[in-house]
Amino acid sequence: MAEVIVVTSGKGGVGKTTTTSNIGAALSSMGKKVVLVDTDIGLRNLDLVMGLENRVVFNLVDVIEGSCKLQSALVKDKRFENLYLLPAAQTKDKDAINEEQMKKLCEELKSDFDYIILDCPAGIEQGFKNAVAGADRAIVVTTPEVSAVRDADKIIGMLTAHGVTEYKLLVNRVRVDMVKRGDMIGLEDIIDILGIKLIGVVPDDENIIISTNRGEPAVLNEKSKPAEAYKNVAKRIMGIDVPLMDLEEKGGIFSAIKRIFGK
Amino acid sequence: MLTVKGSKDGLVVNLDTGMPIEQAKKELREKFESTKEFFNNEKLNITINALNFSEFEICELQGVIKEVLDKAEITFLSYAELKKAEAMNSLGEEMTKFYKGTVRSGQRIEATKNLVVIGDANPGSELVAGGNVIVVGALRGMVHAGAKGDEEAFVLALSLLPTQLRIANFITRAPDDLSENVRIIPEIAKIREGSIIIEQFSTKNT
Repeated sequence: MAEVIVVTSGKGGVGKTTTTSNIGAALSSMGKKVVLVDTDIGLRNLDLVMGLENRVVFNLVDVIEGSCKLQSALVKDKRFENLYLLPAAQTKDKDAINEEQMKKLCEELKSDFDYIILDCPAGIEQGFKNAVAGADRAIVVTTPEVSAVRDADKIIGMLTAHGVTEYKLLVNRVRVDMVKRGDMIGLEDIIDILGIKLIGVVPDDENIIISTNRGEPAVLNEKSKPAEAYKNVAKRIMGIDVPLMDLEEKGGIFSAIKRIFGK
Repeated sequence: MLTVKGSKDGLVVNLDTGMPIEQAKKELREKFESTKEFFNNEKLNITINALNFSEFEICELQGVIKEVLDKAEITFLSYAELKKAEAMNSLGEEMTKFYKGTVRSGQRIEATKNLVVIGDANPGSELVAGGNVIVVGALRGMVHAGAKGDEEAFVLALSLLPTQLRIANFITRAPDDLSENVRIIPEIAKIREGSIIIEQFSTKNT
């Protein structure tokens, strides 16, 4: 049964697009057929991050307005066999589509794919409403910063209000050294405030910026910690139980988190 | 019925056929009396479009307008003159559209015929023209020349580095390996033998 997952955060810049592309790449490398939908109309980035910008001909708005077929708007990834992108329009705005149209589109995609992952725009306006309309579950992305956690809390409330009741938390850009010094909010505190289950923790890594700028998913880099973290997230999405990876060499705060996650 | 419409060529007063001249005068007076403040001290082009009135009667109607808008500078155009002015204007626009400045991501500049951009077109921007596209600057966004199917159309830019380049129904894209040798030579893209070719622009080979 196909599943529609929305990646959302409320706050901008916490890594929704990076998360979407990496989870998509990881899922498809495990043999799943995946389509990533960029719902950030007017500020499209997903095609850029995936290095597919120059292949975009039609977009989400064209499909919804009926000016092209869904199949012709899907851009095939250049590295992963079963990975597709439905890009957003850059010259339109968020009001170009509505929730009903998104729902219909998600239903249509379900017949062809195992996973439909929606990259949600930042904010809580029409763009958010469109993105969550067709979603079965959500991944809420946050970083260990007060503002990001506050916005994540707001988004969780809004998800419930919009009928998405299954959601999990992804904490991005964790810097172990800073958490240890007490300069960053600890995972336990984040989970305590938000009261939702973790789906993954991704450490901060400069390789992410490098791979993003090159337009290639970080999961391609076998050695990097974020790559491993994203692969683990993908496995958890598929229902495989994997323990939280060790972000640092010796126990410490993260082993405590492992216990929380293990529950 | 009497209606007044504004266009970039001035005001057009439309009168229903069959309206008696006296009633037309009365309605015209009322209409302009109410908008007098707005039009006075302005330079106006006015055309009276009333097929069933004689030239003399139209002169009478013009007299009414002059009388009401006594402080405005009015030029009366005949219906034929108006049509001619409209045709002239649209012809000018149809031939070439000029855009000055940087075209940024998310901006889309469209032209029915040719398009000239004096400035850069950034990645994420879209230039779409029915005819040729010329960019006096760096072209880094998407460009579509001959968008209505004209295979003779070309794209010319001082620095031709589009994310995607389309001419009529042909599409080509930048190579994936981002070679950093940024070309700053003027290049031209056109269709030859069923595919898009890009060559260095020179006044010799065009």
